[in-house]
Amino acid sequence: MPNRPVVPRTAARALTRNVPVVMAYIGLGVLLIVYSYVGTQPFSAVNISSMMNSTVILMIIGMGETIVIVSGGIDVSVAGTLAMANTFIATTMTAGALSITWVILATLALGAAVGLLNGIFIARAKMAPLIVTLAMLSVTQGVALWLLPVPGGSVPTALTELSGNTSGGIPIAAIFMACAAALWLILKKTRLGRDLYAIGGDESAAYANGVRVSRTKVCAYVLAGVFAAAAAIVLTSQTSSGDPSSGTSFILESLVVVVLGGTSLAGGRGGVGGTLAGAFMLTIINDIVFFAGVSSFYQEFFQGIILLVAIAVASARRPSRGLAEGEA
Amino acid sequence: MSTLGARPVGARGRRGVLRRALFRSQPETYFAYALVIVLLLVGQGLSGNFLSSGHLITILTIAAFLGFMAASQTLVLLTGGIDLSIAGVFTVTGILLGQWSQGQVSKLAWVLPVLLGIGLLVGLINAIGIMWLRIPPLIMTLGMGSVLGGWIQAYTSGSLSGQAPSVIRSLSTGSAVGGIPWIVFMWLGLAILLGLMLALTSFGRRIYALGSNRLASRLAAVPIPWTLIGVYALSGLFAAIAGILGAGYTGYGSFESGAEYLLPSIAAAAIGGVAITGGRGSYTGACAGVLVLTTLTTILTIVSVPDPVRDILYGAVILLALLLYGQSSTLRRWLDVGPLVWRRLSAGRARLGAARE
Repeated sequence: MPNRPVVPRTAARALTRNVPVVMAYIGLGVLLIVYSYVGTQPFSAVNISSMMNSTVILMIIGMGETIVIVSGGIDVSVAGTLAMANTFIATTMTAGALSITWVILATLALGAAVGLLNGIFIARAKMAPLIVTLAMLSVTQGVALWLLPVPGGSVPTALTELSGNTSGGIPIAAIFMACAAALWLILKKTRLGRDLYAIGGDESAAYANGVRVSRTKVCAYVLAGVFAAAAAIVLTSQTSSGDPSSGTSFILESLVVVVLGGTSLAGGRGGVGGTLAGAFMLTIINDIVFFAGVSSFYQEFFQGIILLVAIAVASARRPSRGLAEGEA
Repeated sequence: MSTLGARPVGARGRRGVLRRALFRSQPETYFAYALVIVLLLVGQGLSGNFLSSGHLITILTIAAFLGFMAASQTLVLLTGGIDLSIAGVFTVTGILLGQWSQGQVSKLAWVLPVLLGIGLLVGLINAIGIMWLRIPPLIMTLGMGSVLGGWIQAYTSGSLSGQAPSVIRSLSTGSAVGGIPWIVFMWLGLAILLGLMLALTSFGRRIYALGSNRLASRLAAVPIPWTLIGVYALSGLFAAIAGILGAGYTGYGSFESGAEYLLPSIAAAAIGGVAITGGRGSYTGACAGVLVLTTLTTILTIVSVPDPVRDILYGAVILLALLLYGQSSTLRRWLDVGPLVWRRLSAGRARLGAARE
């Protein structure tokens, strides 16, 4: 292959292969600079830990979403899974029938079950991911409302301490984030991780090369469900109660963080590294909007705009696809 | 007439034009209408006066609002897209109707055109984003929906005032002929217009072409941008009409009103046999889906099922419809074979009749 440009196997190559992700971190840097001027005491310990608290939930739920989107699918049900898990924790903890460990395990299993259903419908019954997960969003939000019609419930202090405390000066939220990131790095090295990218890049080519397509897809949705449930555990430990409408804002946010992180909605490109930057960016943007004295009613408005602008920029950067141009 | 292919095209074409226009010979549509009848009978079994004319009119009236939203969704789904912004349009137009007119009929002269214009504009922006910025329909309309929802909250500062003018209220609740409200007739008119448009106009055919094969329709010189703009603009327009009439029904708009119709609009289309992947289905089918969902909801109210269970049910119904109509399901085979057997039988009978003569 004499004509192939030689790119040394170094960090430079990793950077050129992940331009959108690098862009995400550049964007994050710019936002941090803006934030340092706009915010009041932006880098105080209190503010950093409160930012970490909102970011960690976005990152964990976004991580599941990233895995699905990398595999070429989409999961809008993660927000519903989060609401369902949140009310499940609050009601079972209030009833006091189970110990914390069991509740956490049961919650993760619940998330996995929702993901498994999604995966079976999508991979085995060959239904469109969007519709299946949209239907599942309705189902899970219904279950959340059925479990806990009004916000309430209480959570033992052992769980709330998880998020309020620091461990050796480091906020626990940061430790969670590090764990999640480590988990992703391990996942990327496994066969499953490689297959996710293969399917997202070209499903039939992946199939022809012996990738277990439907099994990998099911795994992706199961992981999305588990991460949504994990996000719910962190959320519940922060709010120390259940709220059936806690998922509503995450329908949009779970997608925004992934897109801001440079992961392509077409699949096969991006990763959780970018989503981490995306989660920080969304938190900072929300904070800036708040500091700028804009009515909180505008938050949803801005998130919609951000999503559309981010996608439009990402799509514009993509080279034209000739005849297939304009394909949905 | 020895073979099917030797038949003159016009002979079959003229006879079944209306049937094909409205039903597109889709087995799912017939199945959905059969389901409506079954559900009505179940309702009658549960409560004595379910099939009384008064109650049937109530069902039709409630169904009409979903009917308009399902019209939006059907058009967009047929092109292979999806429109999640119709909930936002419904909410915005419903609230602004009360806010701007303050119940005065005279103000409708400018309020109504502006509201309908908002619907068209939202659709136009959706189409532009999808076509030229190449944003996937799901993301474009989801973002648009939250922009609309956030904007109306900010615009009204979270507090609502005003009410729908009496003219709009009588359109949604006042009876036109024999106790049947105007809105039911409007829905009927919409169904006929859309059925004819989809089957007979070039615009309608282009919608199906786009949904079946984007590349092929592009090569066949289908004006994709104009078709998409038309579809999304109509979708926004129907949602705006639904929002206005919805505010007329309850007397005023509310922040949550639109969201209640979003998933049912998709479910109705799916039940009626509109393929989520595009290119297949009809509005007549979606209307059957609307009736199925409305009748089902009424039955659930009678047996006093709590609201959350309804959400669960809507999701389950969509999944079930997709599962049942899927290419590999048993029901699908029966639906496909049934009409074929029927056609063979009637063809045989016709041949017998011809032989006798």
